Amino acid sequence: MNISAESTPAAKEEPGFFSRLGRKIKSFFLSVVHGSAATKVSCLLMGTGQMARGQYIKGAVYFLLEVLFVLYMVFFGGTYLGHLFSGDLGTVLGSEVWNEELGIYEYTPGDNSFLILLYAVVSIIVLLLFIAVWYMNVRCNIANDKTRNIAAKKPPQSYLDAVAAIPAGSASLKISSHAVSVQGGRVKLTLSGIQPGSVLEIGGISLPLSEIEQNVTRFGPLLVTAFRQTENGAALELWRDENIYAQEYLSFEIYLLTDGERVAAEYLRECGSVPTFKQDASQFINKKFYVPLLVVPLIGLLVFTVMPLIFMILIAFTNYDFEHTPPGALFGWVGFANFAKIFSIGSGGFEFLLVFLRVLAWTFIWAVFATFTNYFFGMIIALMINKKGIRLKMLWRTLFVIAIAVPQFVTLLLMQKILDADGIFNVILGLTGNDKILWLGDSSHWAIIPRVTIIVVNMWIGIPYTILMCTGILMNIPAEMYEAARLDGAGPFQVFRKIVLPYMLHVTAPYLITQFVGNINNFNVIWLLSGGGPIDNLNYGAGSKAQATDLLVTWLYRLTTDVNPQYNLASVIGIIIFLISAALSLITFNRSKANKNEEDYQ
Amino acid sequence: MENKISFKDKLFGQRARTAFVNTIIYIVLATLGILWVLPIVYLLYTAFRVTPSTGIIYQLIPDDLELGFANFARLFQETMFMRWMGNTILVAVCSCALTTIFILMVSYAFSRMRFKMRKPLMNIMLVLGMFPGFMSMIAVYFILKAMGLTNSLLALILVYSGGAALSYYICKGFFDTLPRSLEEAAILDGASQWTVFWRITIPLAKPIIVYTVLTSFISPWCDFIFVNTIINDAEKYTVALGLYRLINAEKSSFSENFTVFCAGATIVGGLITALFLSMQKYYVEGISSGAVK
Repeated sequence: MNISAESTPAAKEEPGFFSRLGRKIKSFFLSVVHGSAATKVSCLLMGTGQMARGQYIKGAVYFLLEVLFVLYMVFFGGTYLGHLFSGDLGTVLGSEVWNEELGIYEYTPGDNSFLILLYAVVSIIVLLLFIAVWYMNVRCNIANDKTRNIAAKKPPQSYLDAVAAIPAGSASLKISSHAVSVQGGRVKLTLSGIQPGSVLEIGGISLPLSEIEQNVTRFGPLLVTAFRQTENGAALELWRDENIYAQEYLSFEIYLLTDGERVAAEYLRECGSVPTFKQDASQFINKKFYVPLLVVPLIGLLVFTVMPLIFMILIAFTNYDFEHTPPGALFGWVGFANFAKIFSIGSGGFEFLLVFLRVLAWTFIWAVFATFTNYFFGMIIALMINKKGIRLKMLWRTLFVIAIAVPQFVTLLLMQKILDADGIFNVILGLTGNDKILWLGDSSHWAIIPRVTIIVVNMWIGIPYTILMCTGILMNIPAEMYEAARLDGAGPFQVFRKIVLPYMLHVTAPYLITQFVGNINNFNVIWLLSGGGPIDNLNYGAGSKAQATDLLVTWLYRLTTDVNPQYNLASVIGIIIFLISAALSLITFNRSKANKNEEDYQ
Repeated sequence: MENKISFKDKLFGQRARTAFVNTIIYIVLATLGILWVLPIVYLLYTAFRVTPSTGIIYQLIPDDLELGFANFARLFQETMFMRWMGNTILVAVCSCALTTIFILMVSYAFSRMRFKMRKPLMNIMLVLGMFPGFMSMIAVYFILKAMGLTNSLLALILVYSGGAALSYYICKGFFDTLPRSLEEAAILDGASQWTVFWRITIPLAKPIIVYTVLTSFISPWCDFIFVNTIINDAEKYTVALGLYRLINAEKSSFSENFTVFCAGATIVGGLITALFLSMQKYYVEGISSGAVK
């Protein structure tokens, strides 16, 4: 069922992000203020509200989490959070103190700024997680309040009417809301396990099951899109065509007119009581299945990506360098001084901004060349291999694919040795009576030789990937397109330019962008080939440590692994790389067809 | 009559032209093929070169050239190569299992389920995925240290699979293309999302599973930067770091150990090549399904 073809997202009518957020916060607080005593107490003592309503396990879990959080903050996290806002990252230097009893100097460790900052980051994350858990806890209580309110009221009038209308021995069932899901602005109702011989009443229209026909029957605005009947019962699915808001479906009264008060009584009980632990748990393999699916991977992400990232961002605002390296020394906050240094012009000994711009320019030039040479040459080779009448296709492909299979660090180190000043290439040049060429070390003319060499070697590395990718896609170009072009008298070059290239560009746009961002951050190729070098005569600035073929990433790496590391400046560069990559990828992916038409295939 | 002859002529001309074009293509492919294989031939040649045994050779064919298995013998006797292989296999198997499970879970959630935080989460993870991991390596090192995990293979497994969820994109793209009718029928019959995931989607996702397993199995064989930071005990090196250190530890180590390095690289390269070629079909399917939209 293709539902996205004519779907029009209601983006224009939707209020802005902040007004939506504001409305949400307002309704949240109003719900608490007008909520029951249990809800209010639960805001302070998590889990008590749930326990008061019989949800003992859930309540206990919430309560335990709060106790753990308080213990963590009192005995550990609190002090570190304090450091974050007090302006220093430790004050006590490690020192040697004379111990009279033992007659020796004893080393008393001082504050370790690095660990203080690290634990502060951990504490921030714990705090944020706790706020999220607290919000969930209050929301759970608000939901319980609502359920209680429903239970306190009489069943809706139409409900009673429906019960009254059916013959003896039948009753009605309102479909509980978890059978309903909203997708793409439409409403989809899935009802299953319907007793044979039931009468279905939706929105005031009632029909016996035997009269329902797939894609024909309508209940008012709802169309029956799927209908199956077995001896155990029936199942059906309804779609509402127009875009509506999620709440609107609730105004549909859906009744299953089937046997007995038993069903009706069950409905009443379900409506009037808060969910049990079992019911809550069963949600996690149904409607909320995404929670167990996502929780472990996201924890991994939090610990090994988000935390280090926050840490790195914070380092950019400190003076953590070789003069301030714990445990021997302390470092502290310096505000935007590092940014000022990177973007400074001519202040002091070297012009950092110029160095930065040079590295940035080369990073982009490299990324453009590396991406597009691989892409076009790879595509051309793939076209050659796939051309009709070319034999041994498997052999040709394998020759190139072996290059992917050998680990990159092996091939790159090997290439580096081959291109060495005394490597095979220069041996051959020597045998033919030519001068040596410093393939990776010639710093003259803006180090043009190493730059070109690196791009060429990168083609050796990268083209096989393009060949592999293109092979599958090229076969998908409709044969009629070629045929039509040939009838119009187009030559092979024109076919490539007018048909193959546009098709490929259209289809592989996301791949190209990933490759481009990947190349901006292509550490391996640069580091293992030239190591960022040569140090060129344009004087990249003695203190900046940038070299001729350095990308931003390799420069960053050198700054952190140098004998005199400058972690603070490296962090600033890291933030810049991150901003560039993130902006590029976000813009393109959100504009790409794949993201917009996610449901096209489904 | 005239028409027929000219048609034949045309046909013949066309044929000759095709043959000509094909010949050129064969020549180009053969040349490029040789260019692509040459470095690997050089690798093999160096691996089997017994004399001259040091470094790279500065002559095309040295006078005292002798081939044999001496480098492999040295590799197994003088280095902890077997140990490194064992470490790498352990790390690769564990991290590849974890990575694959994580990616499948995240992709299914993003492709098949609809929840409020879906789009924001997808965007955040996309951006985080662009963040080169080793930029924050020092922080990762200290986090591991605080957990008491430095210098252990477990740390490597955690680091390799910890960020795995970020590469959900290709797998999600694949899930998006799977037809939904089967799942819908199952849900109409009262199946839970868990059942659908386990019984329907996973069996249909074989190509992408193989792709994910393959790529995540190979990456620990190639990374040496993270290992270099986390592990400093030679007994716990992976193959990549072990071999890298073999020729980079000291100034002299390159000329001493280059042939041994090539022998080790040949073994690793051969293993991965065999794996890769046998799984090539799936790799192509995976890489195209993620890229093609």
